[in-house]
Amino acid sequence: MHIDARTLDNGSLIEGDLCIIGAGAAGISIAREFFGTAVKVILLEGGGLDYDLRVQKLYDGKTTGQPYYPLMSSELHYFGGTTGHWAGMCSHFDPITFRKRDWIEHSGWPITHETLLPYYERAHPVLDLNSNEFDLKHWQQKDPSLVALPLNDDVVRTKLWQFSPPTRFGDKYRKEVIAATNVWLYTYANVVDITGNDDVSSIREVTVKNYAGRTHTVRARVFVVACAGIQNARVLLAANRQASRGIGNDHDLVGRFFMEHLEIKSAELWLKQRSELKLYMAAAPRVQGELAISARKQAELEVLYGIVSFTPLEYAQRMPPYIQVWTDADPRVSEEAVKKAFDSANSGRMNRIFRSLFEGHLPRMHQAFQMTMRLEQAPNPLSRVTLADEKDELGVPRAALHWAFTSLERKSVRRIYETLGQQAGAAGLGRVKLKDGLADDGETGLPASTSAGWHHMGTTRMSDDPKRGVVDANCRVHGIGNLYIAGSSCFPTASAVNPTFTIVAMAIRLADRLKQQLA
Amino acid sequence: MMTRRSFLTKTVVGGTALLATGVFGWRFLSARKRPFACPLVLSTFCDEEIVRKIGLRYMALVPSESTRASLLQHLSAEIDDDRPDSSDLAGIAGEIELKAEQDFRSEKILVINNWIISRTEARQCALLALS
Repeated sequence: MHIDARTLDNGSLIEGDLCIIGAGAAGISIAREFFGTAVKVILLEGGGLDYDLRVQKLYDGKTTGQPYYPLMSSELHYFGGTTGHWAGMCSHFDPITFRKRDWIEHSGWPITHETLLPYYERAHPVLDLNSNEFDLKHWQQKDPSLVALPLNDDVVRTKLWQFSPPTRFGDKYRKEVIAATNVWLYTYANVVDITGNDDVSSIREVTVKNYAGRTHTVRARVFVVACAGIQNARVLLAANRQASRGIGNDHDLVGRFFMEHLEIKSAELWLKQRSELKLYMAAAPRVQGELAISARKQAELEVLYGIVSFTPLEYAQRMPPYIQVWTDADPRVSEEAVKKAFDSANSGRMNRIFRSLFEGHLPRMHQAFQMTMRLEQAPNPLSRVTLADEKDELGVPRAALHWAFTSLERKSVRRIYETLGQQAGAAGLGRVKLKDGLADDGETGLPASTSAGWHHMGTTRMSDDPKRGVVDANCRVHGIGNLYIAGSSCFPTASAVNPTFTIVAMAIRLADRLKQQLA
Repeated sequence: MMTRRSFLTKTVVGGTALLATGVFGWRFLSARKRPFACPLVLSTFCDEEIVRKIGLRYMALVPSESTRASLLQHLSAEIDDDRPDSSDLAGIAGEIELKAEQDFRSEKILVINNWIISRTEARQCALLALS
């Protein structure tokens, strides 16, 4: 059932068993797990079924530190959430991501890769992936032309991606969510406050509001906050009537440890023999390879996890970094700007001539490829989301993001490329050339062109220890019996892998946990 | 009769060949005449000026190797015994390339002027810079 909260009488009381705050990838995945059960699910979405600029503006905020995209543009605020503009890249978080790594402060999850394996299996159809198979040999048996670079697997391996179409949750799951007899979807229901019992050991209700001036109350037995990485922290921090530092923030951790995936156009691979690198091109059917430093080598070098993708240099040189293109606060305008930049980069004169002559007849052989590194960010308590002084239209303080790195990011980029350069030379493949800004080992910081993947992680991190994490291994907020968090804000470390597949897997796992609690 | 497509193809291919000769011709000459002073792989990607700059930078980093004698000594070490004929310049070039690959395997690498190269290549660049 779908109800537009703008049409309800002011001061309505909404009641259910499970209240999910946020209808993005995580929230919808959890709701779907309850289809056909006896649990009455209240699914609250701050926006409408479609994009609404006035609602999107609620996500506006300020940024400091490392240059970042306009906050208003980096998470989508309508049914389906940020899957409305995701690229569809899916892969597992690697086992090393979950481990405590002595060289990375604050690393280590209270769960393992094995914990998530059955949930990845259940998540892959949700994202319309053909399979949960990410072993290169499996795909090479289907297509022998997917040849990996001849590098030492013990040092550098080819990591595989699969591509979701990409699944737009708002489009794909709208009908079934609305048709579900036990799910009540309320749009234009922005949570502006959370109320607990006297000692805030459990949550009693949340207050929702919209720009039509209606305010309602939602009561449930269990609540899940699933508003994405920045907004999850903002919702908790802004609920500071009963807990002065915000709900679940007894140890001043909510909002800290904000992490992104750094995307750095950082080097070039020059090949002795021209190659198509078919396996590594985004155009490869169904799967794409990227180069990843092995877990053993990461430990030896004491670096963060980085994965390198390839783009033909002649094309990549015409494509500016995202951080220079995605600059408009309106996500539709920024997305259009990126598309235009892609089109422009792809339509150089020589490229047009080449295509007119040879398209479809010859493989696209290239001598040089740009290498773009996607790097996990080191967990850093100083990289954080706080509340700004300014409030949004509904009276909630806006988010303020201070994005900050440690010295480990630069060291990691440099060491990983030295390793790739060494491996390329040893294999007789060619040479690696670093971009300006990374070539001098004595420099600090990362190039100004450093972009990010629009992946917001870490702000309600998971730990068994309440002094080290906001939620426990089941994503329950420490000290509050019926409040859970879903989404990438629970990730203690970021991996170098796009988060959506893991978000959905963890959401399904959380749904299993909630079923037990609500039984 | 030559079609437009055929004409364009020949123009592109011919132009590319001329360009390649102009830009990279130096390496073919150098490799034949002076294999010690021509890093074969690197010279595929870089013009002579850049290779010379890499060489100058290497000598600044390693002043003890800033003479022809010292560079030649290092470059010819380990390959002398296997070289049947000192006039076999192509053979020498191949052996030096193998030596460079061995450097990579042994992690004897440097980052100079943005390029991640082997120590052997850096010495070849330096020798070229001195010529």
